[in-house]
Amino acid sequence: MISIELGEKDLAKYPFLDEAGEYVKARDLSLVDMSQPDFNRVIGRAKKRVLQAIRSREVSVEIGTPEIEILSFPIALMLVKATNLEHLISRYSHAEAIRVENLLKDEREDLIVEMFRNILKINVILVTSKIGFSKLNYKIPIMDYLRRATYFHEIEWKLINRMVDEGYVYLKSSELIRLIRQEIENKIRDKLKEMVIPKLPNNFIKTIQELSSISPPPPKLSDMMKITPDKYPPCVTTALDMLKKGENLPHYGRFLLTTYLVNIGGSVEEIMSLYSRSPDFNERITKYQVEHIAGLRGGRVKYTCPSCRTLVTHSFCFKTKECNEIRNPLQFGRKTNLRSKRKGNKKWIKKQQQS
Amino acid sequence: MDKKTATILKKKFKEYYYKHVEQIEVPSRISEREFGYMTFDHIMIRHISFQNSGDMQARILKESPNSVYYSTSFYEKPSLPMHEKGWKSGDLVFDIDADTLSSPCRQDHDKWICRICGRQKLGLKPNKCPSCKGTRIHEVNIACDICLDAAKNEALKLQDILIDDFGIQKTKIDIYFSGSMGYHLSIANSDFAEANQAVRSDIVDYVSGQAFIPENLGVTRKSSYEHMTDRFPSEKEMGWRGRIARYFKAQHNGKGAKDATVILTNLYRKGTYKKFQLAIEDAAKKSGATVDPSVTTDIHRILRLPGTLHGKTGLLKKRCRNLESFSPLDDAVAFGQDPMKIQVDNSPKFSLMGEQFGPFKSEIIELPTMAAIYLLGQGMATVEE
Repeated sequence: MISIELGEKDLAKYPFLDEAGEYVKARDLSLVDMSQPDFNRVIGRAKKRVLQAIRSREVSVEIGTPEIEILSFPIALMLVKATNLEHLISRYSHAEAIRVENLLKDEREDLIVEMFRNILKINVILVTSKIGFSKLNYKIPIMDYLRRATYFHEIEWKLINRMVDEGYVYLKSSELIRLIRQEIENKIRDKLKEMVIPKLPNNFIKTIQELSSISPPPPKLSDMMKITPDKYPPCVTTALDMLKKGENLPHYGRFLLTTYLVNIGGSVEEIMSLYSRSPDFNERITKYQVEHIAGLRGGRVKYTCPSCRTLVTHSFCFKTKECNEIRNPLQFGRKTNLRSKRKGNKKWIKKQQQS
Repeated sequence: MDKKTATILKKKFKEYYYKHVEQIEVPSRISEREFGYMTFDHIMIRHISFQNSGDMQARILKESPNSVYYSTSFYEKPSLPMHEKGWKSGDLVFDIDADTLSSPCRQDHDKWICRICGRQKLGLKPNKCPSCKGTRIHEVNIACDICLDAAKNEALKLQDILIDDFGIQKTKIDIYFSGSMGYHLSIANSDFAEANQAVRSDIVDYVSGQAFIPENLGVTRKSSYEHMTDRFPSEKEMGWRGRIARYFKAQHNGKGAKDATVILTNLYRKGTYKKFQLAIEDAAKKSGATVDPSVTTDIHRILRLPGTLHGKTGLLKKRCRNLESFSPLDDAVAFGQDPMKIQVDNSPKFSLMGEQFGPFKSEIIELPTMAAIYLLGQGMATVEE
């Protein structure tokens, strides 16, 4: 529990906190209470929270009446859970996490420090002196930073592009907050997953049906797996070119090429034929290695393709503009597919809003 | 390696271990680690575990292998196959190898043998064999004081980064000469014990100066020149900003007493941004420590056990209590001066205990045991009785 005093307004901002849960519990709301007309404002706000998640992927901040804001959060969770739509659970958790991120950006420093220490067990320390050329207000232990930042793929999140000293990473408040968005999202998702839905009053059921009907369908993964050689990422293309020219492809390039092709559905024979041009080709050894990577031998585990970060480490990243924001060469075609799908979704959202 | 040479080497290693078994370091939490060894027939045995130091010593004495390895990670069940071991945590380790540093001296003391046509020559390994155009070329690396000093320099740079930036105490960094071409640095019980491969990979990039972006210095492609010196780092700054500033300051030593901020401003103003960017990236790579990324990131790797012999050199993997004054070609020598007769097959020159040997042509000679084993292990000689 947080050791500084939290007001109703703080709980309205962060209704996922245990303290907010206690507040709701103390109200001892029954199903009958929730069916009363004066509870409609709470249900209205709860429905709006979910609708905002569906339409704009971001829940708004409305703390004018803290009580409604606090109570509407567990109700919104109930509505989402009751739809039984996995995709909506993810979408809603993400949208609530964005809301929290927006709020934390203007939060007072002592509350930020307390929240990080208590909820996320990160030892955040306030920094008072000026470090480097920009204002960095906080520092956290390197391992706490890396544990989270390695999931981000932008180069500025790499440790080398951070101010680091004596075991700590120095961060701006916006960076510190961005770092933990995923955890807030996971916390909300966990709450949703654990939740058991009680028998609901009639006024809920209609809302749930309505939300289910307008929730967008999840993207189909099967469409994304069709990859032709002209859509290979630049690192894979470079590896193939080197083989074609008869150059000695370094170990990591071979590992990348094989795992990539195995993962997009290439057969052992197809992959072996690529290496057969190599001057030091040994059929028996190559077959063994390719089969091992494909999970047909040894531990029977199919190896996944190394991440872009790992390729940078091994000096085998040949990034181009087309790579954009991918984290793994396997996402090369897929991510662009996804983005165009999202554009499609936006059209769909607009249509929904108009109707 | 022919059978006779293998038998003699094994015998010599066994004699050594019988006399110096207490020098083999016992790793902490021994029962949670995987062990492995390579025989003189080059067969690799892995997935062994020991309950205590006695079991470990007994096995090393019995087998007297070419090389002994231990896992830097801890497992639930270290003797099971890899995917069933149950990884718990692992030391943070770094490997610095002189043969990746391309010191100019290598031209004088390295040797290559084409596996296809058998051609051999002193000097750096070519990409293709000039005779048969084959690419299966075996490289023999001989370490001299110059390239081992270059490796030591990298180890010192790494040690500084670990202390200054990662806040790791000097006494918590175990440094070893690898027994051949470089150094191993190992940190036990740190915050990083539970780090996964992605985290370890990011640490590698940090210490080796990979992927540093010039924006960290406070400028972008379109920065105005105003207040530029305020944004560029001074030599006193911490982390990579300070390291880059110190690099440029050192580069300009003797060319006027300019501050790093002024040097960087001039660099930015004089050329294109691309040029500036390349200069900064180059400075980062040179200021970082060149480490083998796969040793740090591969959490299932086994590493040579400290206090054991390197099968290629007969030198020890030896703890460096004081890295600055450590002299590998003296301090890590395990074998003595008793004469041994061997048939050498073209060897470059090398030195041990301050004594220079070679270069040798194809000839039968008598050498002190330490030098004879050095050549036998490298495959540049066979036993002659």
